[in-house]
Amino acid sequence: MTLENNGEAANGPLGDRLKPVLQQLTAATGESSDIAIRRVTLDQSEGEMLYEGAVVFVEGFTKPEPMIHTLLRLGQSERRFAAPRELLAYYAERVVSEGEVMWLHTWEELLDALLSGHSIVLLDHCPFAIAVGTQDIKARNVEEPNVQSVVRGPREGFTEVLSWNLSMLRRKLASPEMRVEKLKLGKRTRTDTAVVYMTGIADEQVVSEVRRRMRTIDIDGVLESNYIEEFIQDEQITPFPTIYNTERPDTIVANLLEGRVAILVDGTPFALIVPALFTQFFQSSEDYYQRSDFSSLIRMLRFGAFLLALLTPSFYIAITTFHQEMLPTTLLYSLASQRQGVPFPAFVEAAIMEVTFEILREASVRMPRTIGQSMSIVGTLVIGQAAVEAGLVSAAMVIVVSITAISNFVLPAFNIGIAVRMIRFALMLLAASFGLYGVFLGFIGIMLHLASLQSFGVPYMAPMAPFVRPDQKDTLYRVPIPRMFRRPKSLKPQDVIREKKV
Amino acid sequence: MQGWRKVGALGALLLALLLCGCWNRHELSELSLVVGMAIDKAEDGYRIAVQVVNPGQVVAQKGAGVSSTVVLFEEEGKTLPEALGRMTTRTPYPLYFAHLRMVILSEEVARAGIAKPLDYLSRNNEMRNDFYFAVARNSTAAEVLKITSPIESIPANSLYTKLETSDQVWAATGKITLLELTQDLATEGRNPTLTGIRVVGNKSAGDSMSNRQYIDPPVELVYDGMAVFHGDRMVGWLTEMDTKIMNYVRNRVKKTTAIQPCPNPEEGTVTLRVERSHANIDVKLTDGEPVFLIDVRLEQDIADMECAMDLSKLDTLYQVEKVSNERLDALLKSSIAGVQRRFGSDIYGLGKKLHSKFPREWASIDDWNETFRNVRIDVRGTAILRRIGTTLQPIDYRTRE
Repeated sequence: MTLENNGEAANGPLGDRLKPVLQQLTAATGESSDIAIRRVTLDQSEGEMLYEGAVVFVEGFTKPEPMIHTLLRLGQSERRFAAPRELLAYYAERVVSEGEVMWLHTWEELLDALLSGHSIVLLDHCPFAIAVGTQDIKARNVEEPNVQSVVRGPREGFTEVLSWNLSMLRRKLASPEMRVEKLKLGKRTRTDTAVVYMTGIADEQVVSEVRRRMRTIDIDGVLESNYIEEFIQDEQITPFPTIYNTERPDTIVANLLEGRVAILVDGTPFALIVPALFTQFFQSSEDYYQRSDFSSLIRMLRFGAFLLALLTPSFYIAITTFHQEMLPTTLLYSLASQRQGVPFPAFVEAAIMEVTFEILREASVRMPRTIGQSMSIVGTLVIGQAAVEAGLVSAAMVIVVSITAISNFVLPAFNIGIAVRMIRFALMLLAASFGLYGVFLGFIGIMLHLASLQSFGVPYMAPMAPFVRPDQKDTLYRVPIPRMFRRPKSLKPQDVIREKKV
Repeated sequence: MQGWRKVGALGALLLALLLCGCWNRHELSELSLVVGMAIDKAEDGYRIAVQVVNPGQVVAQKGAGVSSTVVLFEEEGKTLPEALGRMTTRTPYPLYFAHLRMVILSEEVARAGIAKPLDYLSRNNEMRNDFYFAVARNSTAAEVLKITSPIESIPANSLYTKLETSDQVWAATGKITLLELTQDLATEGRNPTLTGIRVVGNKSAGDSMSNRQYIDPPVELVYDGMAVFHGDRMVGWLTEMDTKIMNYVRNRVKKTTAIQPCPNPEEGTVTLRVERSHANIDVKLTDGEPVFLIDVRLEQDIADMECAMDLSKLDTLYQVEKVSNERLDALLKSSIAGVQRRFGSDIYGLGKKLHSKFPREWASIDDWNETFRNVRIDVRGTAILRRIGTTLQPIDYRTRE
């Protein structure tokens, strides 16, 4: 039963009397057993003034005991009240020690508050109710991020609780300019989401575009930030991600300071960042925590690894089946001798190995932790030694697949790696049919496609295409932090100057 | 809607790509990699031999050494492509020429003219032009390719690297690629030379892997001198010294060694390491007759010193330099005069210089090579001593008396 289907009661005002309200409540929740109704009677002056009341809460989700205690104590106090509403008002304003108190006048408000973990206090003959923030959140503690780990740098990662995540941001960025706009998304899940940005830095147009796209989302459930990502991304038909995601608060803060907008979603540690540019997926937060010379080298290494992961199998196929003249003579002998007795063409061989590796990788992500070790042994033996010894594949192909796989893991953002994995197979197909001609054709196609992408109005390939000279400082290499005077121009920040020129 | 159109257009484009197909696709293991080619004369046409690699035997693994690393296939044909086409009745896979390293010509073919067999080699799109040529001196060309090589397991590769190293440090051979050869053939006023190769030892012992089991192999292949061509026909052989001088003049010397006697010849010789060499050809007209000046400048180090000379004195060094100069002059003069007299073939490229400097006079010459026989050639050798090595005096300089 949805709120809407509840008819007039859904949006109507609460009634005066307790009994019909409670009846309606049980009807609306379908007598779900986790909705607890605790009836209370506040008995003042030995039965002279009896206030019938109830505390409604979701079991396990809230911890209403201290609140109920204070409520009952109020009944025993000397203080007299003219009407139930006065008592409730007094209680809400003077007694309740929990942080958040809301006044509820309509059914919608009541259900929203109840289902988001508040305790609802109702009194007979009172036209409103109050909701007390007694949430008792059962969630994972702040832990080290699993996916984007660093050697040096903050070790805390987001958790599944939006409010904790926001507090982590606030702690790092104690500026009144950091703005948080909350929005409930999902007709049924009513998930809390927050748009975070720096006013005075972030481009107003981007912020309002984010708001606009978020508002158009019509979905019944938001369980992860990807639900939102797929709604608000610029281009659906592309393997490349146009929205960045991270579970690191420091990454979010750094991006806010560059003028980007973050979207946090309750229930997932992964927050979104827009606009996301191609080069951003090659940046790791650690780039800024290690010396710039080292970071620059590592960053170039990543671009190299990107090309390796993308092109190695297709180059291998193209050169060994079409352009044998390009191989150094001794390498040719060695490859030819390895291929003797391999029953498949190079492309089939490569496809078998790549698919086998993808299967192994997927299995190692999904399988129970306990059998991980036996799995990896089987994997190594099957994909490596045994396949070569059985003459199914050549040893060189195992090396090609391995270097491809390892290079793929060098990419700091998982989702750009996914793009590479998908495109790789298309390039292999092109290589098998047209040789290097096909590979380059495919590569040019990828380049054209990348150049056509946009992320929230910013060209995806910026600052390389269009070329933005000052932004080169943090693209292929990273200059020392004291030299990064300006924020990335590609993002059109309102305040360009980041630090004083030294 | 727009999106689907795009997808459709893209699909059509992709289908168009398929039209060209995979016509030149070969699996690596399904190629016969040719590394050496021998061209002999047959009764009617040519007898071609190709040395094909057996990759499984080259890459040392368990069980290697059972069969030979290369296999030689021989076939006859009226022309090269015909013979090679017929050869597919013998080879397991199509012949692949992109990794060809050596082409051996028999002396008979060389004397009959190399332009005809070269045409196929330069016309074929699969061949690169970085392989070397050699002329077999005392055997047929195929016999050269039938001899196993020590250490390097592929004989043609061994020939290739052998030629490269000797060209680099000894300079009495010539690594002539297809490109250089065709250029020499097409240039008026310059004739080609090709390095010679000689089978030393028992020929029949070479055709077995057992030849590789000896410390002192019973048969070896040795580069020896160069063949002089007159046009595309071979006319004779250059000696080692003539080859070296020719390489000096044609600026092909990278490094080499020169010897000269001590001031007191009984003491022995001085060996000099030539580190750099540059030659310049100039031509002047005297009374309408061309007069050439060949200027060769060498930079050399002392490599070996047998004489009782005090190298710490500047005068001694000048003395060594002076002897070098004189010797270089004399060698240049006698060698060039010998080539003029014996072959009458301008292997130095003098005619080309004359052609570019005095085109009018060039046009009036009917047969340059005939003129070359009697043309006046002046030489000037300049040898500069650079370094004397890491010791100053000969080891026994003080104790010799």
